Amino acid sequence: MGSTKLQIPAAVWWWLAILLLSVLPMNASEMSFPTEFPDTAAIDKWAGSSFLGGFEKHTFTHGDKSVLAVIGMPTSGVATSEIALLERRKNGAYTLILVRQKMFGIVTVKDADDAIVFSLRTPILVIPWAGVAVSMQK
Amino acid sequence: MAALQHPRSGPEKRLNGLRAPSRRTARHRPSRPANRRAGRKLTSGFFRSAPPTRTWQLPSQVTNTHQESTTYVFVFVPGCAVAPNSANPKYDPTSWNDGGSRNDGVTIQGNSNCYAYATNQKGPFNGGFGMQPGDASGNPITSADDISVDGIRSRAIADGLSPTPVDGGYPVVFVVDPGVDYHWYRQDDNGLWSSKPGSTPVNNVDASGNLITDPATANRNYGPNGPNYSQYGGTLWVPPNFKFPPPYGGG
Repeated sequence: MGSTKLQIPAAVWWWLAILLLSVLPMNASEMSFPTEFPDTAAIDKWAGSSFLGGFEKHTFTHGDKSVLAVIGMPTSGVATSEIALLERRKNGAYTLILVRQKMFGIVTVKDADDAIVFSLRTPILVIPWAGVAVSMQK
Repeated sequence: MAALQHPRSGPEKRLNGLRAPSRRTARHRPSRPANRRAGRKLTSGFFRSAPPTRTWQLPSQVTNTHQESTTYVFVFVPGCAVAPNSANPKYDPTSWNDGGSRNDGVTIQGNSNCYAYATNQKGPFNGGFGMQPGDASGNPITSADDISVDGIRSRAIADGLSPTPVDGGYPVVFVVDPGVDYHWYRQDDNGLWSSKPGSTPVNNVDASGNLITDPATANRNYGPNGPNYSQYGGTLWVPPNFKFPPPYGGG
């Protein structure tokens, strides 16, 4: 009986520990990307404070779909790139659909008709327009 | 380890020529003209001996200070007081901050990083964003291991920067977040230090928003999402009329 009484509080403590860990930052050194932005001004504010070396935005549309690619540079001297691809919803808000963290070099992006292509001299990431579907959501 | 030393200690102190002559020393040199003393200080790192907070003193204050201590190296010009090292570039952010985005191949701001700014070279470079230490000397950074104090220092010297003071040159300082990034500061004609983080505008404040009077003591931690330039790389000097060779020469 005594051992049974001890097992119950132990389980509770385990659950409390798990709950506590779940709200702690797991890796503070990694870039944190918000997943929703109400408008481009909010994106500018976030990117401006997140990328020490600056950032660039590229908007692409394909039919009723629209995406915004943010290529940020978290460094000052070394040329690096981080990608955030956001899809524009009908209500004007943006949803993050893809993140690629730090890469050495200058990443460029272009619309190649059927896909959005990110390149680091050669293509490194191809996002087919067929894979972009969030725009139909409100 | 020597490269990590604070500039006010050990060999770096001697390198910077920080030892200002004492009053006694000055009295033993009565025949040396004031402008000659100023000339000597120009080539020996005036920053330590002439704090930037006193750079813009009124002429009368300059005169008084000069009588009290030889650590001041102002050259008196009627009507104005100028910084002793006239070779230091002018702090002129507007000539750099022309907008644009990174690597747009057109703007100065979008194509000039901190190394380009420190060496006073305006992009675009070879059609795009730059420069990187070692590019001009054929030894570019190719891995994260190259992003170290020794790696950046050796490449910058190979590019043409000097490890010792140069007549007519001006001091620059670099700092490193090992394996992640480097950053450069230059000392301007106002005695303060300025920099240009990546493709963003030129500024003269640190990570806390304070004016940079000494990069060694400035806040260089841009965390949690940005780099932390924890390692102080030391001082190098940009020679007069320094230019990156073709095809890297800035526009």
